[in-house]
Amino acid sequence: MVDITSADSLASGNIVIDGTVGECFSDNAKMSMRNVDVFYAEKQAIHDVSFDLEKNQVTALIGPSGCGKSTFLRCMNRMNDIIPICRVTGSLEIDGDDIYHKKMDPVLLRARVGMVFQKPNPFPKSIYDNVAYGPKIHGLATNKAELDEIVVTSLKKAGLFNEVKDRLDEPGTGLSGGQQQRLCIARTIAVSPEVILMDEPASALDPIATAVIEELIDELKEKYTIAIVTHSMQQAARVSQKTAYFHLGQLVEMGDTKQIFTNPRHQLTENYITGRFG
Amino acid sequence: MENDVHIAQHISKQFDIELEDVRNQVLKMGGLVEKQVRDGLHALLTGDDKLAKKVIKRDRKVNALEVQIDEVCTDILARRQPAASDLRLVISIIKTITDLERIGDEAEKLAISAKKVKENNISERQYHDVRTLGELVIANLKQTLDAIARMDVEEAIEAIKADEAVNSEFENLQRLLIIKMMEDPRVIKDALSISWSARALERIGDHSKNINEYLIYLVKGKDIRHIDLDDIEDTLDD
Repeated sequence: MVDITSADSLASGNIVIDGTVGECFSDNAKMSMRNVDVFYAEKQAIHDVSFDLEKNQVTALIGPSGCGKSTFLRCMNRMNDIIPICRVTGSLEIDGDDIYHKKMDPVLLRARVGMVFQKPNPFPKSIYDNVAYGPKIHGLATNKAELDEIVVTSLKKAGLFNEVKDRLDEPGTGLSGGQQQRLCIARTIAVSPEVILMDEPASALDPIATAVIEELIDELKEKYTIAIVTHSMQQAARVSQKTAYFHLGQLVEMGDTKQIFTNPRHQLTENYITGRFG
Repeated sequence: MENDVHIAQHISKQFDIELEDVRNQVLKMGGLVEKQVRDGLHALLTGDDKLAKKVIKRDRKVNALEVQIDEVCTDILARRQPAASDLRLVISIIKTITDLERIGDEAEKLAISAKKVKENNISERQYHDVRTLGELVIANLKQTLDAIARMDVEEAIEAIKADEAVNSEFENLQRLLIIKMMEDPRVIKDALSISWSARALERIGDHSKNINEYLIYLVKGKDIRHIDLDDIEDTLDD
């Protein structure tokens, strides 16, 4: 069940959300979401959300706890499938392919739309095996040399290779928090995704490890399309080009990050990013 | 979004207090600067060298306030990392106090001229030609300070328009002085001195205009610097 109490406390009695303000759509969309509603049993968690994820851009989803941003992120690679009471309506497409089409294999979808979670969650396996796992099950390598190549390239892209190259057979869980998170990013990259979804990827990390992850996100956007959920407004301002502000399950405002953080159009966005009561 | 910018209502009460305090300091600095201009002009028009000396001494207070407010703003930027209207408030304050400080410098110039009037035994009546310009400038500055006190965009636009009248009065005065100099070269020295004071007053009008532009940026989030007067309202409606 989604807890909306914290979002409720920020809601103002007289500020009305009447559709989304700002620029939600792009001519260069990687993913397109239209009129998406999400229900947990009878309770509606997402109300009629429509926007595009622009190709090779970082889009930040921000909003108070319980506003539906993580719920929405999880819809984008059908992570909500594993919650039996969760029901998604509307249309979500990646390059025109319907994500919720009955012929869409969620396992293959999640290879195209990878995910990095709040807490680093490496498998209880070696560093090498953590990265090699995905390519193995998806049959991306025909021999050991190819697999080695994928592992090394992915670790390099995740900015971790130099730190672990001499201990690839050691357990991934023995790395520091920041390194574990980069290992998870390497694991995501290893299956050549098109989109990477990040749910609070740096909230469990210290400022240095956070800066490394943010730098990495900036590099990754050259090859991938990224959506990031974050509670840190400064982080959203630093890493994203587009920002979407969610409130009580609705998309209140979306636009260029620069505009959102200097001159938001909606009073609720303004209240949230300046730390005001509604 | 509505036009009102609210200083208060932060979840952090302390942040409300900090922003309100720094804004009050700016208004205090504005009041002091207005007094400086009034006294500077009065000293010039009446040849009151005691008042002139006071104005010159008081400019240090204006400078000290600029430094103090700058420090508070740096502190807010570092610790609060303000965004949206809060960010625009801090940025516009940092810019406003620079212009206020320069208005203070121009007021000091008037006072320096007033001292010379006395020292060189010039008749203060010579300076009566700048009275109209001075009054226009003071009215314009007062309107500007009222606009920032009330965060009133309409008032700010009116004040920007009023600066046109200041500019045209300045040009009239320049023409008058040139004619006087052509008629009687013996008045050149005095006329140049009057022109110097007139220039100081005209510059005050320009600084007031800048301050109104920062206010509009604060309230509307739109940068109207270097835009023709006729286009300002259209830009704000976009």
